[in-house]
Order: sequence, then structure tokens, then C-alpha cells
Amino acid sequence: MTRLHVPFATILSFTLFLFVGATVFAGSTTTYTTVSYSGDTWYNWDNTSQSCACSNAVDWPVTMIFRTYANVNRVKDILGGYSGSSMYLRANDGNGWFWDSDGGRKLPISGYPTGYYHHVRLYAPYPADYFYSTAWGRYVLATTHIDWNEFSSSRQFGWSETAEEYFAAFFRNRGYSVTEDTFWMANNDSWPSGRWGEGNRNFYLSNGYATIVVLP
Amino acid sequence: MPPHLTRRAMLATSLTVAAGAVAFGFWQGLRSRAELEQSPAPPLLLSEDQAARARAVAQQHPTVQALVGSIALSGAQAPINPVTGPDGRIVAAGVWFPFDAPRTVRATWVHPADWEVNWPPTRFVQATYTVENAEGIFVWVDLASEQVVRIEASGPYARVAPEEDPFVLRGELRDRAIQLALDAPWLKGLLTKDEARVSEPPRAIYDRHGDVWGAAVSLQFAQPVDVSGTFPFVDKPEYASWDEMRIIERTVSQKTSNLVVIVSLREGRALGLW
Repeated sequence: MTRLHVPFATILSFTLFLFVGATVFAGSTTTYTTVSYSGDTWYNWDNTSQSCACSNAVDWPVTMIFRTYANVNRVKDILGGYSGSSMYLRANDGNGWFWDSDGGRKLPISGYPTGYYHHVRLYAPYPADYFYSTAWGRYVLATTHIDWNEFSSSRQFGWSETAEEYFAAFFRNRGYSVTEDTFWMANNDSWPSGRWGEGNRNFYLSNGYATIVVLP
Repeated sequence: MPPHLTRRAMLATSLTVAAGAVAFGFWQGLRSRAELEQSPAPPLLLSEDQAARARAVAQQHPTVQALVGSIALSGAQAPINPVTGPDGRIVAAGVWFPFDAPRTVRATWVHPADWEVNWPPTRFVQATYTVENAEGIFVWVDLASEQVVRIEASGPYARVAPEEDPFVLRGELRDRAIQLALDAPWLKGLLTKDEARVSEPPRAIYDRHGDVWGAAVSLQFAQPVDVSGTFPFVDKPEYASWDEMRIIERTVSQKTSNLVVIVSLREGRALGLW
């Protein structure tokens, strides 16, 4: 009997973990859908795990496109900053559906203490690390948000549109061609007032249009 | 125990594990297929009565009353969202009072420190301080007691006056956190090459129970330094608590003038870079 207790306990605790662990504080939106353009298709929000391409496990809306000669590492090299924790985007580049994961780059907000960042995550098929279409050339998709006071128990995240504006200005100030809010990504959420979710942890704010940055 | 009984027990164990694994795999397969095709689970919603009562309680809070002239919406229009407790049930209502324009506000703010594991929360960070660029106030009303358990000013660029920030370490804890960071053996090479200064008071890191277990220490170099090699990094899923962080070795090569070191006050050592 004693020998049997171990596997049963292991299975029981594992099963409990699956059920309890499933109650993750994931966000949800009514605007989660696929967007197709020039032969590629992708979901318009990233997800908190690879197990669920669904609207009640979203993180942030896709708000930026880096195009022409972009790849994930090239964009990251321009950005600098710190690595962030990973999220996941589901897409189909014509060779079937895949998940890409990325932690992105976190740039400290100037004049604010440690723990306040503009955060961008960059997605593309791996290992090429870029999508390719005749319309946009080599391109990557990006989600944006702000990390607010993330070392405290009062941490908050979101304001994707505000972060998109910051990154648009970041690239424009470095000489890149930037067209703000130009591609309809169909992920407008609570624009322009915004909304809180997940117990005032996440603030959702998106006008549904993505900014395009040209990396020549 | 006779040998045949041992073998029988081992066989039963193996069969149990195998059956569990097969059932788990089958269930996971069904689950992933179902999740990819599922319609969203219905959202958790507050009843109209709960929302009305929470709005009334939040509106009467002295801090909300003091700022009522700056609030863009009437109390009845204030957006409201459910707050779920540790067991996933709705336990509170979050009422958002957006300002008509970003403002500097001073009040006594209340942060529940252990709400992710205890409801109602039992530990709070309560302090009076000024917040610049606040775009509104949110108030949590505990549905059972109809008491305010959280009140904060917020906004993407809301900024706490540095000298009043309740989330920084002061006194002995600050000194200890800085010393632990500067003593990190994996930082020695960098610190001997270039002089670094602590650029701001270390920020306290809390666990889910509301205890300070560590700190983030920001080091500023006079000029960019070449950080090349393998260093420990503290890695944590964005929304996970700090209890769930792990340390990973990462090889990097970059120039930077600022490093953030995560230290554990409990373990008395620097854990890694951020």
C-alpha cells in the first residue's frame, strides 16, 4: 500500500496543479481575431500561453509592424534595453500555423525609477525571425505596453496605445520612416477611454490601428 | 515482503502511472483542440446591485470626495470591474474615477499587500504621498464588508514623488541591499574596471504574502561598460509573483551604463541581473 501512495499522490497533485494552475490571471477581449494580408495570417493579440489561441487568454494587441528589411534581432539591436518575459503569437506564414514566443525589450521610462518600462515584444517565424510578403518585404509584428511599478505588489500593465506612440517616436527620432496608426489590425479595445481588467492589473487601450516602421 | 508481492506492487504502480499518463495525454489533446476552437468562457460579471452599492461606497470615500471636481464622470457612470480573489471568485469591485486631465494629487493611498493569497486582505501598505500625472483613481470595495480595501492613483505616466515613495527601501534595509549588490561575485570584474554608483534608493520586492524578500538595486556607471560573458539573470513570468522567479545563466555582450541587480534579503545574497 505504501508503495502505491507515491504515484497516486503524484498524479493527484499533478491533476490539482493542472486545475488550480489553469486559473491564471489572463486577459480577455472581444476583438481577438485573425488578420490576413499579402498571403500571411496572424492573430491580432498575443497570448499568455501556447496552449490556447483564444480570446480569454490574451496579453496585448499587435500595435506595430517593422517592415522592408526587418528581423527580430535587428529591431532589438536598435532598441537596446532589457529582456522581458515571454508571451506568444500564433500565425501562419503560408507554411502552416505556428507559435512564436518572445520576451521583447524593455526600455526604462526616462525620469522614472527602476520598474517602469516601455515594453515591446517582437514576433516572426523562427528561425528566420521575419515574415516575408511582397507587400511588406521582411517584416515582424509587435505588441506594446507599459510596465508600471513592476517590483511592487501594486504593479500595473497596459496602455498599449501610449506605448505604441512612445516606440513610434523612438524610431522616428532615430531617422526611420514611421507612419502612425495606418494599418487596420481590428484589435480596437475600449478606445479612447480604456478599461481595467484582471483586478486593475491590466489597462486595455487600443485604437485598432497599427503603426508601420520602415527599416531600409 | 515476499518477492511476488513486491513485483505485484511495482506492476500496479507502473500500470497506474501509465494509465495516468495516457489519460493525461488524451485529456491534454482534447483540451488543446477544444481551446483552439472554443468560444470564450463567459466573463465574470458583477450584478447591477453589487455595482451600484460598490459605486456608492467608493464615491463616499474622503479621497474621492476631495477630488470630485477633477473627476470626468459622475459616480453613477464610473467604470467598474470585478476583482477576483485567490479562489477565482469575485470578491470586490474596482471602481475607476478618471480625471478630466492628468493631475497632481496628494492623499493617503492604500495598497493591499497580500490580496493574491488572502481575502479579505490582512496586510496593507498605507502612506500619504503625492502622485504626478495621475489620470484617475481606482477604488476596490470588498463586496462582503462594503469597505474600501484599496485606493490608488494611476495612469501610464503616474509618478510617485521620489522622497515619499513607499515602495523604496530606507535605512538599514537600503544599506544592506546595496551592500549585497556590490558584493555580488559575478559583478567584481565590472566594478573594478569602472566606478559605479547606486543611482536611486533600492526598490522593495514583496512576496505574495506582503513581506519584503528582496530589492532591485540600480547601478549607474559613469560611462557605458562592456558587459560580456555569462551572468546569472533573474527570470520571472510577467504576472507571476516573485516567489516564482528563477535564476538562469545567460551569455550577453552589450554596452550599458545601467545595471539592475536583484538581491534576496532573506538569503543574504545577490541573485542576478534583471
